[in-house]
Amino acid sequence: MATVQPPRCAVLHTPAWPITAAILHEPETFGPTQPLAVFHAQRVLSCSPLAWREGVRPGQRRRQAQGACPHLVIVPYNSDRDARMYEPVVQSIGTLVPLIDVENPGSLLLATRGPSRYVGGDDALAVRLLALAREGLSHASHGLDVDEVMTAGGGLGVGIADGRVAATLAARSSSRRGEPVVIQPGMQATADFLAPYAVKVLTAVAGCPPDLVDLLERLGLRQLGDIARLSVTDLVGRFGAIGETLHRLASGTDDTPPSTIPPPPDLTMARVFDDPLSKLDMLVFAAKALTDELGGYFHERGQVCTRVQVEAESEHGESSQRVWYRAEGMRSSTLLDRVRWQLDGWINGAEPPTAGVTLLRVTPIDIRSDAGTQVGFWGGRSEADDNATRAITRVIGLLGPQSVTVASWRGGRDPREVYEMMYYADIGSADSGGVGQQLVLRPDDDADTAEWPGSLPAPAPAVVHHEPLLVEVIDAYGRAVAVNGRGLMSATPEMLVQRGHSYRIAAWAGPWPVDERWWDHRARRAARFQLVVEQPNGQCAYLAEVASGQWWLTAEYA
Amino acid sequence: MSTVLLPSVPNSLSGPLSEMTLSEMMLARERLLPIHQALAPLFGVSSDDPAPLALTRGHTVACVGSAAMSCALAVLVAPTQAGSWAGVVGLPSCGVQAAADLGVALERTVFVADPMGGSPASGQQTDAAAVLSALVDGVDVLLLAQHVVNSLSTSLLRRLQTRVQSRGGVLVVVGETKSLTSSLSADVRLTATTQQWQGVGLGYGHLQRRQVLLQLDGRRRARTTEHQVWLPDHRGQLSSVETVTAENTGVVIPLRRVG
Repeated sequence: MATVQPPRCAVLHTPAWPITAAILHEPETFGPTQPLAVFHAQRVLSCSPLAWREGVRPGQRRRQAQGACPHLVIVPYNSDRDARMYEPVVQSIGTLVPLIDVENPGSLLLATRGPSRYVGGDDALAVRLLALAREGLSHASHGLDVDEVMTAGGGLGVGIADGRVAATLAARSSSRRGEPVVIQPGMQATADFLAPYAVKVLTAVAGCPPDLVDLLERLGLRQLGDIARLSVTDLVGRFGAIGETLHRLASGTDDTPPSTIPPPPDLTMARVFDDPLSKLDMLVFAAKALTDELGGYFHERGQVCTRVQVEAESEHGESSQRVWYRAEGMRSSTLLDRVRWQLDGWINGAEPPTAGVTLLRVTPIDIRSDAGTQVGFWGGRSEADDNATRAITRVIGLLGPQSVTVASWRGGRDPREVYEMMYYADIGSADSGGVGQQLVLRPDDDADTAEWPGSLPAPAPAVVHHEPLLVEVIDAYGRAVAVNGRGLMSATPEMLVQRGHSYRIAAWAGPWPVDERWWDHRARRAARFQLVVEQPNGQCAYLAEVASGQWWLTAEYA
Repeated sequence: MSTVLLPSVPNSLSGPLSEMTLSEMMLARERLLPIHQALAPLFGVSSDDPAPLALTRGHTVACVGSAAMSCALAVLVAPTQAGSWAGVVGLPSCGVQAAADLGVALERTVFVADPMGGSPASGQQTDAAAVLSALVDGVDVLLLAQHVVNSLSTSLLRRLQTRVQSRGGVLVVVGETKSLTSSLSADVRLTATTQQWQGVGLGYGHLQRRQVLLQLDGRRRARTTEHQVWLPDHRGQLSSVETVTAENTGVVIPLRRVG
């Protein structure tokens, strides 16, 4: 079987990059001398060498990890932070090698053919890469000791070898040894290097399914060398197509080239105004040129922008920053809408800038190819949905992003709290047949979530006063009815006095005490009643609340 | 460069959706919006079509009386479930939970702030006109608070109704009392009067259901039709009151944990 010489690669690897990123990002919270562990979904994602020494291992549950190391500092998982903090390293390497394949934050791969010849050999390249990575880290470390930070992240390793798998394994061993690992070129040298590794590494390095690795181990193939010694025919006969891949990975002839796609150009569009602008329409006009330019760029490449950051800064340094998301993607007009909503909300909002705006910046964050929107035949998105989406967008343009709301179920005891009103502009628009995609519209059928203890039984009031109305409830002798701390009433309620008129209470039920959030400052103690009142136009039913001796009508069963 | 002759642009009020006006070719049934089963007896049955008549597109419905809000929400139920969108304008106090219990499809219901912002200044009028006409173009059922209607000028209200007619939506106006503004000429008036609340006594029980007398009259209706409904019934939904039989003369209220 003809084999292809795999391309020679260099891998720069930091074993516990999330830890390094956390230290660089919040040096005052996470120190390099503490045992740190990043948790995701209640399990250890990665841990610092200090924590490792105490017995913390990736994949452990939180309780196990804390049991092994009681003073373990827990770092919340944040993939954005990891990627952002890795950027200086990538940029620093980018000064030497233009085409870099960042596999994930903490690990990057590059083809060595050109750079190695430029700096004078693989060993020189490895040293140079380490130096550049250190330089990039020191830019981001704000005066922290780079060595300390790097040690806390499990060191920094550079490995150069033929093929992606061998280079990655070389980099891993390099980060443990603290010096670059360069494997001699040639298939035999690569195979010899790979042979003693356990089969398990294929899961981490090449994404092999864990159950396949498990099967290989049970078959007695514990090392990569064991697999490489078998014939490809036997492997394919036993495992199918993946057998051939396994053989290639184990013998180091993996010829997947490093993906060397040029990094996208910096798409940040900014306008600096020498004359500060304070009028909204002038700003929007200036923004239009910006968004048109961006929209044209995307249009030429058949792309759309799904997430964009809009920033504006005033002459006095106040700023407004917001990230906008639209699942269908944004082009120039929809981008301009977002910019206008944000500027409108800022300039005409509660905290307007005290001076004119001098800087406007639009940064696309997520870009994807424009796949268009497919209109469903039956079900899915209908014409009514399209019309409504257009109309709502227009209303938002006229009245501002806070004018159109939709309801999302949240649960609660108070009729005011059961549904949360969310801004339509924040949710995005109808993806298929309604805004329901991102909202919870009904409680689950699960009785635990549907029935809040202490919530009112059905039916629900049709009118809910967000500002409760102050009323008086009096007994037969004209004295105000009070409810004491134990939920006992002073007398039977007879009359409801509202705006000077008194109405007879035909029926009432309660008191139902409400003692919410007694553990913090939002504590609320009240007693609720349902009152049926005889009014000139018939019976009216109210939901009333007594708190601190005062009666309020919070809702009406209109 | 040669001059391109554009076809004559229609009056701006009819807008970009002018081709979507109700055509003469439309079937009678397509001119109707569905209505909740319990409301159907009010609308009656037409002579040549066994299906009950329902809300006619283009009409203005005024919901008045002491149960006006629940009644208006009940009108939204069937259209939103059938895929139409509804806009609720100027009613921040609308009980969303009650609407959900009645069966309003909240994924197609948007709540819009009062376009007048509470101030009937002349500059706001044009804004309100633009907002309402945009909504009329986009949603099938537009629920307006009485104070929004009362703050609009007569000519604007007339234009709005014309636009609703040409677009084929339904305008539902919620009024607390019967004193709706005289400039609004409703095609259909639904009067919902609370007869009695059941389930609560003197210090015991909880509100269970309400018997409401619905009366429907209108400009083109020979007589007023009446129907007794539970609005809401014990599950928060709308249902007809069955003819009184021996077993439901006395209402049995099951004991429930309330707090």
